[in-house]
Amino acid sequence: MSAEAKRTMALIALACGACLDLGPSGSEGTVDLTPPRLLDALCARNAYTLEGRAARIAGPTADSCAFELGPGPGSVTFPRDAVPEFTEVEAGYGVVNVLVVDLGARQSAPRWTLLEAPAPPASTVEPAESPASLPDLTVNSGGGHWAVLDIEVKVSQTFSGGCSVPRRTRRPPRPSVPYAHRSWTPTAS
Amino acid sequence: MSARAFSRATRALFAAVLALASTLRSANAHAEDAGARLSPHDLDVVDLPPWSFRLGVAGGVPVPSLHERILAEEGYYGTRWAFMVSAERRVHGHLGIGLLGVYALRSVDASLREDATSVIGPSPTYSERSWIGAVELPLTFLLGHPRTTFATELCLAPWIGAGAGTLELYDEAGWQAGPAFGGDLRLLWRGRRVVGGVSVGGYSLRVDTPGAISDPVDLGMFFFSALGGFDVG
Repeated sequence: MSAEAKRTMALIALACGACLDLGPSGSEGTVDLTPPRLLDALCARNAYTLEGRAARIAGPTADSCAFELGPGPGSVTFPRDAVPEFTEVEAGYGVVNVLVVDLGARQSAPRWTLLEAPAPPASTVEPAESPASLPDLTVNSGGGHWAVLDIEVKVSQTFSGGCSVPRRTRRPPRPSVPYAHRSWTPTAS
Repeated sequence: MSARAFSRATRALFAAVLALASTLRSANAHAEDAGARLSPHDLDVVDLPPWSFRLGVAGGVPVPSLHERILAEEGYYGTRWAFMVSAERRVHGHLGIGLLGVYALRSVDASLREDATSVIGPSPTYSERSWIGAVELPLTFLLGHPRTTFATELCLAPWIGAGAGTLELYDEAGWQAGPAFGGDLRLLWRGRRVVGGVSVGGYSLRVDTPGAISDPVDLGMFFFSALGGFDVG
């Protein structure tokens, strides 16, 4: 092998090595969560609206916050601009979950339930449904008796690999869930 | 040395030998007497001290409850710790009565949940503290021979009492009182006065639940502890 060919091979190897060191590759991604007790932050700012049979109560501790919905029709609504991460959901990068307990059930378990999923891909978004027009987030009792204990935003991102700069792409975490829920009505577990 | 001096020295030596033999015989007689008193039947009763003082450090898992499941869903879980101190008086045979004090605490930061890789922003620290005062009825048995350097002691100590606890995320929660009960099984190695060993047990301290959740909060736990102490009397 000539010296020039060796030099070319070395440059290729160097380039590939640098490329491999550039960070995430393939379909790697991150899942960012809002910290626990986001609901306390909303309560501290009174960023909620109660309707029907709904009341603010203490959460897992006496100095935290939760909401009791029902028995009967009742709801709590959180304004869209209350949490900056809600805009991530608007942009299609995340989901909003609520932690609920069925107070009507004899032996109930707390569970995270999807409140809002990402909007559909841009190609299928209807013109009238721009992010700015998205309604606030509402949890309905559905006639039952529920405690809403916390709310979270889960932001998912994937990065394209190789030597390119990591590129944020949509990553719907739960494809089986219908898109664009903005109001959740619980069902007994 | 004259014959008279030799005779005097011989008599003195003979007297010393007699005195030593007498002392050994007397000591032997004491030992036999002691052996006769400590029959296998009442050996443990005789050797159980009237007063016992114990200090323990315990770590364990919280009693399962709805409140614990809610905390776990939020990412808060971890070991509960307790310091225990007791003073016991033997009142009849193996049975004693005593006072027990427990101080328990737990402070945990939220763990990442599910498939999350990071948390956006700081999380509050969950902390809890509780005090318990109780009356205990220890039932104590000696398993080893008391004339060995260390005797083994097995003690079952149920107790009942009351306590108060606080659970907080922002250092603003008050104290709530409630009934408490529990017990532990202790395996101890005893010297003349000093005692050390381990125990397993559990206890419950139920306080009112904040909010609308009907199940009370249980600040109890199933624990393993290391304990030591001393006996008096």
